[in-house]
Amino acid sequence: MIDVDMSQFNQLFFEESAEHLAEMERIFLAMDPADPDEEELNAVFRSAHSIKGGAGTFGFPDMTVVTHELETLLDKIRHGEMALTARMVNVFLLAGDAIGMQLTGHRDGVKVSEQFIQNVVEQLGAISSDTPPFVTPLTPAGSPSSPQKESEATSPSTYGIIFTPPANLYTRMVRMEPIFQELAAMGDFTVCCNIAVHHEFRNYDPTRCLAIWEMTLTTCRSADEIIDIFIFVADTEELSIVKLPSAAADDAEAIVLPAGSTPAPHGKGATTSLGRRHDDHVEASSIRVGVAKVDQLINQMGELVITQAMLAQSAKQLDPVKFENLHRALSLLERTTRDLQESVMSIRMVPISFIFNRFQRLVHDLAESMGKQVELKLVGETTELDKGLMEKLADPLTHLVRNSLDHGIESPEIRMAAGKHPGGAITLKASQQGGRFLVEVTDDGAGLNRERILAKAAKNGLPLSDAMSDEEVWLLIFSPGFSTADQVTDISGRGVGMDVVRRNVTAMGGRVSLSSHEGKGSRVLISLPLTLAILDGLAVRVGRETFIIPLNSVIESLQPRTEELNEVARGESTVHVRGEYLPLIRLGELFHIAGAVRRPEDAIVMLIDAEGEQLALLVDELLGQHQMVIKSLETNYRKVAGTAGATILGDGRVALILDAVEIVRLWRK
Amino acid sequence: MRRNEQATLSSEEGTREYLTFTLGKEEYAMDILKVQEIRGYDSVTHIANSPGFMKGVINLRGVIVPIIDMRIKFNLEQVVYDEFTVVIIINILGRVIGMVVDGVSDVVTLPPEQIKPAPEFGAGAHADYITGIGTVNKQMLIMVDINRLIASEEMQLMEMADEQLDLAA
Repeated sequence: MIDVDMSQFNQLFFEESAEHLAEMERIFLAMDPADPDEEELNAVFRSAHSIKGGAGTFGFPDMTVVTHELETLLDKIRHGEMALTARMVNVFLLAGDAIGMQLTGHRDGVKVSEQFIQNVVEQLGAISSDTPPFVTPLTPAGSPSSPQKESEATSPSTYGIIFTPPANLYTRMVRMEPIFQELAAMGDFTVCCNIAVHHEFRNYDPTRCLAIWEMTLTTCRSADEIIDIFIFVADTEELSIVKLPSAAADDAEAIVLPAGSTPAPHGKGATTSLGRRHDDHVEASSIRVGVAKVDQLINQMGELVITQAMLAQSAKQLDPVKFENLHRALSLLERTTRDLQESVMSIRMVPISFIFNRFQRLVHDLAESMGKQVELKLVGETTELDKGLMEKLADPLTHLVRNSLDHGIESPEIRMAAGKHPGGAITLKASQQGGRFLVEVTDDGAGLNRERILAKAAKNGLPLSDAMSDEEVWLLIFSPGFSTADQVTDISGRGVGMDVVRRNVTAMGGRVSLSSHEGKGSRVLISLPLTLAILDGLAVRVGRETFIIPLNSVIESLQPRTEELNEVARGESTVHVRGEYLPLIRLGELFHIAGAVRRPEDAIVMLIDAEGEQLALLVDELLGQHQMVIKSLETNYRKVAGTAGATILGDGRVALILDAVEIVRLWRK
Repeated sequence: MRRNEQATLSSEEGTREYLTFTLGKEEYAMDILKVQEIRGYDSVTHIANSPGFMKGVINLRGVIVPIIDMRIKFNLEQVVYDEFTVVIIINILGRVIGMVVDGVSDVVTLPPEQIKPAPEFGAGAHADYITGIGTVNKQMLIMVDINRLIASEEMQLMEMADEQLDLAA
């Protein structure tokens, strides 16, 4: 027995199959059933086939059942033997789900719903038996190449196939038998194993593959399909397929791979199929790396930033003239560290389209089940966000999109009656503003209903007053157990909506806000920090303690004059800045720091933006601006009120990072 | 198979090693496997609105570690910080925590029969994390279950102390 860890190959198969599934789904959703693009049909077929081939090779026979049905149908459609309908597309999407379910089943050991799979297989079977195969294409939509395909399909040709595998074929756990079986199923098949290239028996290594297989196959299928069977086994240069002269006295065409340079012999379909694979090769300029490795890299990067800051701090005490070279080298180190840091951080950044694209399917399915017409618009899908945040954003966003679909967008009849276009629109918009990532879910539906929210809130026993502004009323829907849906549906309205959204977003250091106009629609805005790992901060001193204020919340700093300060009751004071009276929050008092400056005139007032609200924070001194590596306090301790974590300063000490919104909350208490 | 496991477990329990440390006049002992390292006392960053024994946090090679002073926690009269002040860095429940004590004395091996159950303390004493009284060379050792001590509500070191303890159990 060869001791090879099979799981790593399984992992590769899972990842590739998941990509194929995503690709299939994307194409199906974009496809117009009345006029399917031939190339896209081919692409879907190839994806299905790759999954099937892989599932067979890696020993997941259950996955081949659904894929086989799907593949058979797709093959008929792409050869024009069957017309694509909208119903088929829906069943195909379900089939994709079934395969995806089996895939997760194998990968994570989750139980798979056999009933669902059986149901899908039956539906697929029903389609292939329902639709009578039509001999001549009814519509000219077929394709220019289909007559050629058909003539080819009627006269079988004989191919000579030579497979020269790499020596590590066996250690890759590839088994040839399933491939031979599949080939044999296509037509008249013979195989002969050539092991002439043998060396001395003494040095014989059974784990090395020295065999060459020579096969002949007489079939109606095209050479492409033969190549497809080898897709998980052979690289293009290891496989040579030659069309042998047959009774029909065809010209002996040699289709020798690599195919990029070969003139395609089979019309459009063949060109794209071979050409596509060539493209894939070019696109493969990325590598898969485990998230743990990236996180490790980022942590080490953080350590480097801190060490560099420590060095810079120590060097300040050295004579700049005497140690000129050292100083020059250190400033070079600083620049390089900063560049390196940016590059490292960019590894974790992924475009938001990763999760945006999932919603096409969600909206498609939900709208159909609710009898609504909804179009999903995506704006700014290329905006990048930290991958960790992205994953946590998926659930809240799903909630919001479902909410918009279910409660926001009205049915076509109601929309028409209100003089709106029968089809509603949901817009997902991502953008980057300052140091924050913004994502917006907007719909042009009915908007929130003030009366209904108030009635529901009263029923839930929430504190209310008649004078509440619309904004305050909207905030009510964020309270736990709140749902304004007239009826609880399968999709939403079970009262676990908006409070969960808000909790999840807050946990990521983000905030949610909501605006709505009755009859025009509503908008939910989520704002998140770009990354959780690093921030630009302003170091301030209070007493002997150092605190960090995130730079993106700092508006300005000033030294107050006596006439700008007003004493209010209980030792509270306000500061008058540009026509506004702002309450003065003394950080030293808030955090009980001994030795903080008492007289505001001797200290510095920092104007801070806390979610649109301005506040004046009194600190002793500004120390300077730094890049900070954010460290969690919760890892070994607990959340500290008023802070958003901690960082390590240049001298190795810990400083707390202040959170403006939390400071306000703490101060109000 | 199962019997075997039990045998190894009990033999391990029999030869368990303890780190002993002093707080005031008393000698305490804790499971040595929970100890990560022992270091001197550095200046800490204070945390506002935290109990008095919570000295603050330090940077331990890039990790932020809270420091608690057991002498303040156990109401000892003399609390001084000098070059002899010792911090035991412990690693429990997936957390790293520093514990200030008066001194670290020894590593002792105690068979279970040398540990007697703790006498009943009055209400309010730290009875729940004192698991017994050991004797080595006629000296009394107070055996501390450090997991229970750190996770206890009154330490306020964790947000969901009970849950954490359940997970560890």
